[in-house]
Amino acid sequence: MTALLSIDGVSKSFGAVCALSGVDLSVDAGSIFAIIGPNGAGKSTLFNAITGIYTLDSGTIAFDGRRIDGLPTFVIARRGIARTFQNLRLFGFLSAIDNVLIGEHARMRGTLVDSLLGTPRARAQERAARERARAWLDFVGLNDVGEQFARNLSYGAQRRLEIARALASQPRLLLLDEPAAGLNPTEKRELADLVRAIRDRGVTVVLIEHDMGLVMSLCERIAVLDHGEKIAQGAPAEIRANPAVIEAYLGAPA
Amino acid sequence: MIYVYVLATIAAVVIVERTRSRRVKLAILAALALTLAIVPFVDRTDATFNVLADAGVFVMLALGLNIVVGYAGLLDLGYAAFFAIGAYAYGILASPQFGVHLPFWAILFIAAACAGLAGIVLGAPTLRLHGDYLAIVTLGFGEIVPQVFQNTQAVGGPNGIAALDVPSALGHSFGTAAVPYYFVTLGGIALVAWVARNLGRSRLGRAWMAIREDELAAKHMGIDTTRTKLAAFAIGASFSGLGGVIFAAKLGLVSPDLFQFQVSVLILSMLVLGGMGSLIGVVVGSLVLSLLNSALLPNINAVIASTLHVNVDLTNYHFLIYGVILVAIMLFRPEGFLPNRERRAELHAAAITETSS
Repeated sequence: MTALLSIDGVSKSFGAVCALSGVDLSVDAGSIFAIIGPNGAGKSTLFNAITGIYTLDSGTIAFDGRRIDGLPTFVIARRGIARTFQNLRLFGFLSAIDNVLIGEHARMRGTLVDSLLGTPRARAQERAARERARAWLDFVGLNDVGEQFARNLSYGAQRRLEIARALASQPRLLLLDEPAAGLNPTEKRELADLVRAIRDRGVTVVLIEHDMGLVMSLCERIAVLDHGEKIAQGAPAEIRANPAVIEAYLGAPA
Repeated sequence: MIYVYVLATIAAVVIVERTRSRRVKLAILAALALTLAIVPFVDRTDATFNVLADAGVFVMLALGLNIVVGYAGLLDLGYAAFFAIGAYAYGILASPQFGVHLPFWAILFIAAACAGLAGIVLGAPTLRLHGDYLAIVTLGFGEIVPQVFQNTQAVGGPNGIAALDVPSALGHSFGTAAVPYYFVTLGGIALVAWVARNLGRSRLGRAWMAIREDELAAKHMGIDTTRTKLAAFAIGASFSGLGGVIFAAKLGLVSPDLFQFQVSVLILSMLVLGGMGSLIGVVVGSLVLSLLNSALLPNINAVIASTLHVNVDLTNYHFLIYGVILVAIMLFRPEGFLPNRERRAELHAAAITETSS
């Protein structure tokens, strides 16, 4: 298997706070990969570094063999990396279907003239995009909410909508930032099924998650961050038995 | 009569907006267009069409500013600058000043392009700014452009350029009547409203809405936010370039004092009154505010003079009256008279959170 995402020696500090220091990660294509660690370990910072929100102090990030560090966020998104956010960033006052249509933005073709004049080509494309958006909503289990404002949906539905919006860009890599936060046990089970279904469509998934039950049952590989450093990486069973991980989570043995 | 025309037009567009059937919509729009085209041949009072043509220019301007502020959510307080650039384009290209006499119709395109370009020139360095900061920079730009015209002797300095060419169509001069300009603005509004409607439903229009809602999330969707915002500035500016040409040709002169800050504020007030982001709202808001100053207040003056035998000139207080209207709107209906669905929810929610916190 080849690595779809390779992170090499990535460091990022904010003033005196070292959020990431020398992190190496390699995510195989077609896998479900978890990043875990205590609060403040640098997990979300790592996502922001991958999507180009932060510039790196040092290190490189490569996606599908090409460097992506230093590129603007929208270019990285167009290369095929989509994400969701820890504190939901939906377009709240737009309808659910419009949210998904915006996700399709980079996949739609169209010149300025098409947009200005509403050419038949633009309209045909628009209809096709709308149908695909409906299909994505169905795929995540949101069938009848298309016209509702995103902010009026239930919390669980908003989480799903964010995933649908991310999938609409037809990414090869999907980054999920705490997708199960705030979900009840039933919704968590459905989420796990959804993530597997996404992987089965050929999308590699990296997720940040605190729910160990979910992580252990869902993911093939796990990396553990603590204080900005990667302290372990491996299969779920290896991680569970790793003394450094236990120490990071429970504190040093007395 | 003017109120009958305007109220009938407003009623027609509101019905069009509320109707679902596409066929009924088209039928009403066709009937409206036909009526508006026939009216000048029935009603021969030129003063009416003088007022309507001026109002029409402001409808075009408001539709342009709506792209920038309503669709893309970029607060532009210097929009009159692009209006000035359009008007001066006509002044320079169709007057004895430089001995250049290009046809009106050609200048419409040139001015739209010039204003659009100016939009890009202003936008490129400033669009990294957000909210209040962007507003302040555009405010500055709005002040600088008339100042530059004022201090450039080649374009007449504070006197501006006079004796502009009278446009002609198919060999017939527009002459001194207002009716030809009325027709030009009707055509201009139809064009600009149609383009704005297409944009609102397009990939580009959605990208603007995404930026307005959450710029960071928009970037993650693969939207090139800088280019997308520049497009809003350029397109909005080009609409006002068109309006500027019609305005200058009708007036027969341009001078820097026609494009002061209050013009930008007036156009913005039209959006606020009608409902930002909503085409119908913007058309209605701009018609109402234009007519308030040019027709309604003088009429009220006349009524007061004849009944109370007092001479007051309410037009001197028009800014006070706009102010009162705007405050009332902000208090009772922050989303404007005829908002679109998204903005109604957003502005209403914003007003409620502000008052309750």
